[in-house]
Order: sequence, then structure tokens, then C-alpha cells
Amino acid sequence: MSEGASDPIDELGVDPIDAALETGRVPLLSRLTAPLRTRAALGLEPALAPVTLFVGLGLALGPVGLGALGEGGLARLEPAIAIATAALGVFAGLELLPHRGERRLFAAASLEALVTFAVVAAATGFLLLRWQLLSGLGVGLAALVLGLAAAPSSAAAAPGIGPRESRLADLDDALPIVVGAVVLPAVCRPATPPLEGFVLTAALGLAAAVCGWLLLEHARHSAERAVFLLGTIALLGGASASLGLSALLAGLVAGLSWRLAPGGADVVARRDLGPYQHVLVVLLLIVAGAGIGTEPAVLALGVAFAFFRLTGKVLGAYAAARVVAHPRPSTLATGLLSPGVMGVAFALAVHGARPDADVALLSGAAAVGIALSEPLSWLSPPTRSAAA
Amino acid sequence: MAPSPESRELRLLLVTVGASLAVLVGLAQLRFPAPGAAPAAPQLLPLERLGPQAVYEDLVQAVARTEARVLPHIVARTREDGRPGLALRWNSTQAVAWTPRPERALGVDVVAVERNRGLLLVRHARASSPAALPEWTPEAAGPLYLAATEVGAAGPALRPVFVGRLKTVASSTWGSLLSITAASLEPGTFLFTLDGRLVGLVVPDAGAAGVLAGAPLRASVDAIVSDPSAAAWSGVRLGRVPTAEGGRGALLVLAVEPWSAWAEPLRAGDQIEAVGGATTTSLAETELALQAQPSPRLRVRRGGTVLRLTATAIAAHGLRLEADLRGTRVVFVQPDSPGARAGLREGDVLTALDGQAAPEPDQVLRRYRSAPRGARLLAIAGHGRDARAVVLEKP
Repeated sequence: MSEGASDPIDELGVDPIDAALETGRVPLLSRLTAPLRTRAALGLEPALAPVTLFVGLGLALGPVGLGALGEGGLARLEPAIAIATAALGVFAGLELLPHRGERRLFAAASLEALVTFAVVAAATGFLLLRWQLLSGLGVGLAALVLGLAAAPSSAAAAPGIGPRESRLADLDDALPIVVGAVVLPAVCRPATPPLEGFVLTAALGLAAAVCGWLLLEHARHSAERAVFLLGTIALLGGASASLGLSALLAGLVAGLSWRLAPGGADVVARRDLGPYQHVLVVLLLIVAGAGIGTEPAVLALGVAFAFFRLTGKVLGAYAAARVVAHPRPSTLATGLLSPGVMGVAFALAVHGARPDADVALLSGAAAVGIALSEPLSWLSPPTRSAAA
Repeated sequence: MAPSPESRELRLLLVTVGASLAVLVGLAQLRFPAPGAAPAAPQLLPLERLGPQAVYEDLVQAVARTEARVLPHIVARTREDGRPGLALRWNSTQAVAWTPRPERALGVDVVAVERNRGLLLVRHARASSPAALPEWTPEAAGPLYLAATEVGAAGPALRPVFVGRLKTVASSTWGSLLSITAASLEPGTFLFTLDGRLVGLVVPDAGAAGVLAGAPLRASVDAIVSDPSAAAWSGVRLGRVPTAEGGRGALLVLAVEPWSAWAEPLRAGDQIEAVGGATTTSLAETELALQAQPSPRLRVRRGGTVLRLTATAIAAHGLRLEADLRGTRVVFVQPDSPGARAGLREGDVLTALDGQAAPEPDQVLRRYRSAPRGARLLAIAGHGRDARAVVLEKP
């Protein structure tokens, strides 16, 4: 097996962290622990939070575990979840705008997300139809929810993953967030017409962004800016949750608006929200884990979610590789397997909008599936060693 | 020959797709119980979660349906302690109730009273006669919701009460009662099942509350009706002088209420030897005789002296009246009685009543008793410059 000199990984030089890691024949134990060491080395990246660990911690603390985080506690955390989700949307919006020359990469990321979404939605929809598990929610809507929760990826840091693969994983959040903003109002009870819900969400995000921008631009001190920024995020999350709209899209619109607006609102948002990014992600993962039920159907649907997400990512990577002329779709797929926390946030938002048994099944399955997806991504063979 | 990267990638893709289809077929063979197929285990909802649940709405609707069935059987009345109370229609003219002050059961609506336990039979004036209420058969049950009567701002109403447990227990006062737990219910409250069956009347028992169920309640009411001593009271508490042999001793006056027609002549400690010339043996007959009009003559032993006494007044509805040259003199006014509410005071002389000048005490009594419920009788109290108008309202 050989590797062409045009490998995009080599074009950018060897990653120093990759260099520090073992690149030869990888023993099983090292293979299992390498991702953890990589994640520790890159601990500042939110997507690299050990999803399985925190979801498992949430499961242990939740009602089916020790009960330290009971149903009352979870209910009290709902406002915090809405605000955390809005903050994640803002992060996504700040990073969404493709850099120069990234239009094809953005298109490829969206295509990959669409393929993953379609594969997971089709497979889980088929299974839900066979299993007859839902009592009120339509199978179609349930499949859409699972597909959207599966589509986002995190920028993985396994050996062999380069900047382009990581960037692809960054950009594949946009499509699920936008489609999720259409689906969420339809799931919510009472349901809002999808288009109306989408327009309302975008308008809410834009209005909050304008308010926040005016405040941030006129603030004199950094402390004032921090207060205004946190207030705007709280407004985004609270209003979205209250209206049954997608806090992710509202945050994304706000983040994108700040990025496009003149002045330094985007810089302030990055700087002041940055320290809270890890905390918010950990909170979302723990709450998602605590919401997992003990029904066999949750586990079965979660396994199906993880497996078909893997399949979707592989197929999506092939489609994306055609768009960006990537020579090794399997490498691209490896970089996309880490589950995106946006999927967790979307599943929690759906559960907040419609807290019934059907949605509890879906959000629990999504949490299980996302927790299982990360070990699957660890087991993917690093291609650099094969090429060396 | 080593496979090309393209063929390796294609093979990986095909393996993934093939494996996916196989897993999909395998997973599709799984079966799970349909939602709601398995009988749900009984789950007690904390109160804070009850509000948003459908079960709360169901409870409200069930109570509303029960009200429609039960409230036509409930009659509002003023209790002897002055508080609003309720009675349950027993037949076309009478209703049963419980009172904490049986000794003050003097209202015109009182037919009979069981002074030991406080059960009352009262008259009611409802014309229509609703279908009889079915009775709930006492059985150990619970926890469950029952409907309890209460007096709301708009009249009688029902409220749901959660009864932890219902169990039949023996009672020295009532014979048998249903003991209730986890429910704070006032004596005098009637309980019904949510499908409109009578569970019973809440009564006090040994410092707690129990439910006098349908059958024992009926037996108690029958006993009141058949026992003449339970009829409207003369205000004289009677007992017997204890004897060493354990037999029946002489009739003894234990106490005389101040509103009684016998308040003046009789004293506590008097021994009644004869009523109307006949030697007395029965406590019930003596009680009835004390209520009779005209008043009988009593032979009474007081200390070593034998006295012959007659009631010097007429007692009616909380008023003790004596004859006066100018009409009827008010000797005593029971608090909370119609006379007290009309503003009558002790010493007042009624010089006119409803157009009749200088009425005799028995005329006052007859006129009042013959007036319909709710009637307002105009009386003149005093004379000359001290005369004032008094309106006696019959409740």
C-alpha cells in the first residue's frame, strides 16, 4: 500500500502532537489509550471532550443510577440547557462562515451531513416502524429527529486526521442546525408550522443579535461587555425555549450576524464565551446521560443509531471526497466519526420542547448512540501508520 | 498484486453497506412490548406533580359529576354552635345531621335529638324528592378518593379527600365505625364515593373521627325516631339516684337549662316522685311530660320537703316567657336564638305580636310555631315612651 505525495495531511506538515504519538504498529492497549492522550493534549477543543465518559457519568448520577441528579434536578437544569444550547449555536455561527477557498469544503460538509442524516433517518425510521414503539409522535418526525442528532461531527484528533478533515467536521453542523430549526417547532406541542417556526427562530436570533451588538459596541469596559454578552445569550436561550423554537439556530444566526457586523462583537463573543465552552459541553453531556432510560428499546435504538451513524459517515465521506477531490475517503470518514455535541444539544432541545415518553425514547437513544459513537471512532484504524 | 487505493476504498464502502443491511435486517427482528401493553404498576404521584397530570382533571370532573347527584340530597342549616352546617335528606320531610351542642338543639327545625351522641333529625322544606342515594357497602378499602361535603360561599359543595385506609372497627359509642386515616375531616361531614354512593357521616369517637356508615346511621336515626325521650328537649337533665342493689333509683334532676320552662321551680338535686298525680317510673315518659302544654303538676322531694310544682313559664325556641299584665314577659333569652337575633332582652314585655295586643305566652308560642319558615313577626316590646319594634324572624 502506498500513499501519494499529494496527501493533504503532508501538505501542511506533520502535526507536532501526531509526531509525539506513536505512529508505527499500534498495540491494542495503545490503540485504546491513544485517543485519550490525544484528547488530553488537545483539551482546549470542545469537540474533544470524552463524550462516553461524561454521558456515562450522567447515567450514573441520573435517576436510573445513584439518583443524585433526579427528575426534579433535571427539570431545574432545563433553563441552563437552553442557554447552553444557544451558546453552542453562537459558537457554530462564529465559525460557520467559510474561509476564503472553503466553499467547496462547506458544500462537501453539508453533503456529508445530508447523507448521514438520510441514512440514520431511513434506518431508524424503518426500525421504529417495525418495532411500533411510538404512541403519539409520528415515525417520520422521530426519524428526522434521530437523523439530525446523528449528522453533526466533532473535529477528531486521531492520528491521520488533518486540518481539512477537522474543518469538514466543523462545517457539517450548519445543515443539521438549519433543518433542526424547521423540525423542532413541528415536534413541539402545540406544533408550530415548520416554515413559520423557522422564520420566527431566525427573527429571534437576529433581533437578539442586533440588541447584543448595540450593547457590545457601546460598552466601555470589558466587564460590561461580558454582562451584555451573557445577557444576550440568556435571552436567546430563554426566548427560544419559551417559544418552542431552536436555540441552536437562534444562536447560530446571532453568531453569524456578529461575525458579519462591523465592529468587534464576534471577537468579544469568542473571548468571553470561550472559557465557558467546556463547562457547557460537559453539562449537556451529563444531562443527556442522566436522561437515558432503562428500557431495552432505548439501548437497541441507541445501538442502531451508532451503527447507522457510522455507515452514514462512511457514505457521506465518500460523497464529500468527490466534491473536494480527497484521495482517501476512509481517512475523511475517520475524521468525521466523533459525535458532535450539537447532536446532543438538539436531542435535549427536542426533549425540552416535548417532554413525553416518545421523545424520551428518542433523546435517550441519541445519547446512547452518541456515547457509543466515540468508541467506534477510536477503533477506526489510523491511516497514517498504514501509509508510512 | 497489491490492491490499488481506489479498490481498497471501494471494498471498504461495500463492506460497510453490506454490514449495514445485515445489521438492519437483524435489528428489525427484535420485538418490544407496545407502549401501554403491559399493565402499569400503581404509581402514587407526589402532590407537586399532580397538577399538570390528566388524573387531576379526571378527579375534578368526577367530583363535579358526584355533586350533581349528591347535592340535591344536602340541606344547609345553622348548627347549634352557630356555624354553618349540613344535613342529609332522610325522607321527604326530615334530614339527619350531627351537632356538637345537642343540649342547645332548640331550633324550630329540630324534630328530635340524640343528646348523648349529637345526632339530629331536622325538618327540611325541599319540595322535590330526588331519587334515593345508594349506600356504599363498608369494606376494608383504600387508598382512594372520596367526596366530602363542605359549606362553601355559594352553599353546599363537595371536595375530594384522599383517604388512606377504611377499615371497620368497634366503637363503644357508635357500635361500629369505619376508621379513616390520612384525612382531616370535621365531624358532621358526609362522605360519598365518586360514583355517588353514601359512605357515611363523620362523627367524633374517642378523641378521633370515624365514619358512621349507612346501616349503623340508619339504625341510629330509627332509634331517635322511636325514642320519645329524644324529641325536642325540655331543658331538664334527668338521671336516677344510684342504689346499692343496682336497681332503678328515684328520678333525679341533674341540671336545668336557664331557658327551660322549669328553670324557676326545679333545682338540681330535686327528686321527682310523681308527674300529674301518677308515680313516675320511666325517664322517657317524664321527659315527654315536662314538654307538655299545659304544664303538668310535679310532686318533688327537695331535702326533707315534698313540693308540688308547676312550670311558671313557657319555653320556646330559646325564649322563656312568663305571663304579664300587659302581655308576655321575656324571662330568659338564649344566645344565638331567634329572639336574641331580634334584639329581645331579659325583662322585655311583648305588648303586641303580629297585630294581637297583650299576647299570652302560649299565644306567642303558637303564633311563632304556626308561622312559615322565613316569616318575620312584628312585635312591640315595652310600652309608652319605651316601646320599640322587634322583628322575630323564623329561621
